[in-house]
Amino acid sequence: MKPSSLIPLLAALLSLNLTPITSALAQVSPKSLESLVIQEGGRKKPYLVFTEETLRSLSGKTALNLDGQKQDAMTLITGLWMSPENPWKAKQLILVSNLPLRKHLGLDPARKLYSWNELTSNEALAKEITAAAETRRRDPRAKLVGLQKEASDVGMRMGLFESLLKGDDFKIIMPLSGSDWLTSAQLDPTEGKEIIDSVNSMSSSWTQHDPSRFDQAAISLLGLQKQVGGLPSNWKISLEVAYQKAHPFRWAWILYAAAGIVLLLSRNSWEPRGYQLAWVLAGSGFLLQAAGLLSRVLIAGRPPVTNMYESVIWVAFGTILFALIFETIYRAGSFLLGAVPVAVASLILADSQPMILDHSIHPLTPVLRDNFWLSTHVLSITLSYAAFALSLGVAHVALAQVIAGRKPTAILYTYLYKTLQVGVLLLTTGTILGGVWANYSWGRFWDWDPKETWALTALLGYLFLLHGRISGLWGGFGLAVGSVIAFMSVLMAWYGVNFVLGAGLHSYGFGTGGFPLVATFVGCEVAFVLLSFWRKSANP
Amino acid sequence: MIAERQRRSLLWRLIHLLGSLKLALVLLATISVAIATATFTEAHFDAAVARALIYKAPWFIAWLGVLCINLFAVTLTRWPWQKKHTGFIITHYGIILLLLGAVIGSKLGFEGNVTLRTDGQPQRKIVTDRSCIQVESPSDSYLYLMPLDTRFLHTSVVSPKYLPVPGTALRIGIEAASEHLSPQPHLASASGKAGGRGVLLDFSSGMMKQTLHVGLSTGEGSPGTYDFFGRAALALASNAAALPPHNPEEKKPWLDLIPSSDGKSLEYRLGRGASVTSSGNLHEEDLLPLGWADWRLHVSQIAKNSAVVTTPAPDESGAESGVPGFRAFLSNQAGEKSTPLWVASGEVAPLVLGKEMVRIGYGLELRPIPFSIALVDFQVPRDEGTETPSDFRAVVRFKNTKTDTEKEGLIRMNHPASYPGGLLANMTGFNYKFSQAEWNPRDLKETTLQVLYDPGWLPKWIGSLAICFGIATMFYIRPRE
Repeated sequence: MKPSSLIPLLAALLSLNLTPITSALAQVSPKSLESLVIQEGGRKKPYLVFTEETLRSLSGKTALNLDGQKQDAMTLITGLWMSPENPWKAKQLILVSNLPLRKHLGLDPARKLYSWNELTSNEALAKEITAAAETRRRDPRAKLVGLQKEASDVGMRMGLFESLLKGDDFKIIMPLSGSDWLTSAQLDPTEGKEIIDSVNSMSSSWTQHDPSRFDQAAISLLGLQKQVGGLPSNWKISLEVAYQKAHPFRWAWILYAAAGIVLLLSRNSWEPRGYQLAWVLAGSGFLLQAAGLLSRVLIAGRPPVTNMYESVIWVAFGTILFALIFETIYRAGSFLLGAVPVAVASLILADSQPMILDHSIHPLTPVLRDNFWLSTHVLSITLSYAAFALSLGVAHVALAQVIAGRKPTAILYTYLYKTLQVGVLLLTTGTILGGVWANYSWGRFWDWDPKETWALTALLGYLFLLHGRISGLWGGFGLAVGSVIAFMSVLMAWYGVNFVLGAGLHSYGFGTGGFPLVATFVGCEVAFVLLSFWRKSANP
Repeated sequence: MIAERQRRSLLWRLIHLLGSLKLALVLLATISVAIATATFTEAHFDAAVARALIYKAPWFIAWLGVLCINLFAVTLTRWPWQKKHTGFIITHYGIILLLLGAVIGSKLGFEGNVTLRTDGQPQRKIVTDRSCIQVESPSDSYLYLMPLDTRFLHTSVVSPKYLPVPGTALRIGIEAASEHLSPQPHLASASGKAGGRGVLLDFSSGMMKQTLHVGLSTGEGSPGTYDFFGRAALALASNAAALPPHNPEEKKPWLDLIPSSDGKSLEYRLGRGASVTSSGNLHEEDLLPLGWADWRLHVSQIAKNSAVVTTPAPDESGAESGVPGFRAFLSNQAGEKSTPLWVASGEVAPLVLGKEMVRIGYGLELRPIPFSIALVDFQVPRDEGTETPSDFRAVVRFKNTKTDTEKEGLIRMNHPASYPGGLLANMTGFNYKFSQAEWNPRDLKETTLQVLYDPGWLPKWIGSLAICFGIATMFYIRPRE
């Protein structure tokens, strides 16, 4: 495993929270509410998912330390709903993530969470939010940048806090007409009496710390919600609750990491047995990840490749998939060894950066609502990224051997070539399918859109690498170095176009969107390549 | 054998040179670097600059031509072909075919858009994305179109860009360009009833970062009143009786102006409803705070016997609004020049030199289509409980203007409607394809459709299939030798 992927791994191991969170603030547990259906963000979801997504939007986390106690999202958000009269406005709940903004506003730079009272009394913040609103008013399509964007994000969180306190976001009842669900406060007092009574009973038992009465009222509310109807099917809600709790992708990377460690450590007579064990570990991780992805597909009703978070998970999955296919054919070990660091690093990244890689399932923009094109074009493109990620991993195995002063075997370079072939075929197919899709949705086949252009740049880069190898201009070592460098163009097509070019050239200057992380990765890779060059010239 | 034929034949030597792997590597490297640079150019400036410098630049197109030659020559170098060359040849010819399709598409086809309204007229013209100048030649009254984009015009008063007026010895000189032209009022001397007392006023606000030029005249055919953003009313009249009455119920502020008899000053009255808040006299260059937020009035001109004329001019207030255009004059062989005029996009301006008059216009090129299209219905379904669109559904009616036959089509996201449609037209691209492009959230009776007519579609399609099939064959199908 390369050193650059060890640091996030250790960091994630330390922060990994596998023990259930206990709430001591209220003896009342909101657990009985977890599968209450709530309409938010254009779809219906379980209350558990709603609270975790909401707290993440508000505070950037799914659990907070409040009044000296750790509170999970359900407890905290239910508290806001059930007892809005509590002094919530004085509690540090609202995220101000951007350091330059905190400095600009004269806030304590060491803290990230601020109370409603602190923020509403900050005149500099009010000024920035007004300026952002003015920019938007002049041009509704204007992209906010810099402090204005950050301030506007804080303004949205303040708006969310306000509407939570007012109870406006707890839309739990299907209306008689229309598609906009109602809160209990919006119900007709006579027709909705039972529902209003249940909510009131929940509220009073919550403040009086009466768990049994709360559970009773919650169960009655769930029953009443079913009577009114309009809910997604039972299995869908149960599946989403289970998916939200299980963290399948977290367990998957732990199993992958274990497989990698076993592969690295098993030597000599232990090697065959170690290889078998690694297979079992990686295979179980793979099945777990497949189950997680399948759950997402069933919940969202579409292929799991519609945002950056999903594509990172999917590429990790694809990398292991190709590695296992190649391992089945060649039984080499090096495919798995190359795939494991890539998959583990990607999955840890996806798990640990929820503010950059959004976990939630959102309705898609209309242009993406076509499962045929999503599952042909997007899947083939992302699978090509996965194949190239595997070649990156295999190239690392080869270059690590060079750095260690050993000469990689010719067969290892052949394996590398085979992974590149898979990537080239998939990227070509995917890019062309993209053109055909664009011809239908946007009315043109190719128009040098940055995403199209970078997919082509990456493809041309890999073709350059393969043609140079055929012509004998470089050998296996050059192929390995090229696989590492060409992957940077994949990174540009995948991440850079959306986060660097797309967000405007200035946005990364403020540290949002993971640019420092990616830049560090690129820097490490360049250093790794230079090191291997130096070691190769030292041991020719 | 290869070495043998190269030694014997100059042609073979050339083919092997043009089809060399080294040339392929240089092409792959330069093209990928060029297009990567273009994406940063686009992010830094805009898509049009990236297009002009790289994607649509002659050197880039020529370089793609070299790529085609290289791809073709390399297949010849493998002659005589064997079974193992199948994938290789299909792939390389596939790329040539794809590029050929792109050339056909850009030469014979076009892209554009059309904005339709459910309560509007059927459209018979498509707006393309190509700017051009229209010149009406005085010799045959025919409209000539010449491509011209003010964004990439390198021109100045010292060295104007000249365009010939077809069929005459006249030339149009373009001496300046602007992206922000807006109609600006002037006072022009006029006689008879058209000439009255005229004033030119500038309103400015530091808070709104805006300057507004208003021209008023008592002459017939000129505006005597002005609606100030619907928030206030301006009026000019030769005497108090001729001013519009003020409604005491309405709390809207107003400014009344009456020119003095000597034509050098203005009597003003500022008020709200029925009450007058201030009054006095104004001369040219006087400043008057209006008490409407921080708006101030500056009197820039007072004149007798004048009418208000509006002509396009660059907006000096620094606002990023307005339309593009240029300043042009007419010149003849003797070197005489007409008075230069600003020509704004979407407008026609007459250039007059002595007895000669040439009318020119500027704007996006309009392409006629052999049928009409009308919007029957437009719906924007939303995601549940939100205002976010989940789809766009436009029902359109095509009408063949020759045969009067009608056909309806439904345009949804990812599902264009096409005309004439049918399998053959769709396959070959001799077909007008209408896809959803833009909508107006404030007016749901309107939608903008992207229009594509692409006769290069079939070669593109076959080429694409060939590339994918060829690569798969090359990598994964091994013939038994």
